[in-house]
Amino acid sequence: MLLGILSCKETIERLDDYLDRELSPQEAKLVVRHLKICHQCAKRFAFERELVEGLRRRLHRIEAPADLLEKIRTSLEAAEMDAASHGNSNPPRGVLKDNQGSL
Amino acid sequence: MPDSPRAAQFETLLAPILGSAYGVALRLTGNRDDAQDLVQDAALRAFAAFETFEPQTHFKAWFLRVLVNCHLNRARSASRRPQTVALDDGEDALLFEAARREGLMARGVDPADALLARFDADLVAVALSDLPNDFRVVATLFLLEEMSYEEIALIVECPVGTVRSRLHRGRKLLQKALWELARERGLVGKP
Ligand SMILES: [Zn+2]
Repeated sequence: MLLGILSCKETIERLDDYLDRELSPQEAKLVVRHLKICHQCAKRFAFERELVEGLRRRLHRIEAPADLLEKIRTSLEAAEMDAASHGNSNPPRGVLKDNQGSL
Repeated sequence: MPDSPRAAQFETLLAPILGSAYGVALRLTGNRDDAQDLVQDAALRAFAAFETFEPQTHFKAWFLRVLVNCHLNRARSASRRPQTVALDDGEDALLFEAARREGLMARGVDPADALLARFDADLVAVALSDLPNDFRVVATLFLLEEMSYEEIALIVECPVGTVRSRLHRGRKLLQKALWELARERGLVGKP
């Protein structure tokens, strides 16, 4: 680095960290300074940034199945019941509902 | 509501993050059945270890740590295929150069958008789930949950530097996987 100006190579080496906002403010400033004067690097940075954003959009969230929480609840209850019946020192209260024992 | 206060408390914390957990599980496993299975398994384990959760801390991060661990354990014991394939890194700027070759660098065009527009809807998901596990985990947390290196490091329980290098390498591998899949499917360039 000469006079506070990064070379193209030094700039590209900082590409990922810069885009991921993991550079120190001073380092980020150096990168920005280079991008202002170097069209090639600016193009590359813009491309990689857009690519990550595009990938994120394409991986949009898919809703969890509507009954997943219910399934989990059932298995947790079974686990608690199991723990209680194996004589856990302090079984949680109310695991077995009235009239709904382990028949 | 569940019967015991402990289960009720757990469920109250779990419900709002279940969507995120399922989304991550889906990208880690690559299919809905395994994703659902993984979340259920993680919930059971997390519940069993619920005493170790510190209420002032972030439940989502804590739960995702359990989930990632479950996933890695399963993958290790299953080890259906050796994860050494495709580990030779893609060249730097693989998709950037590809976009150039495809003639997408014209004025007024966003080359990244133009390239992504050629990919199938599920291509990105398939490419991601093709990555070796260590890379897939960090890339998923980064892309889907938009976590920082430090947040990811807490979840995968390794140093930030390891996350950084996996993510940088994972990016290249992902670009390579995307390009190869797109070529296989005839969506882009002739060789
Ligand atoms: Zn440059």
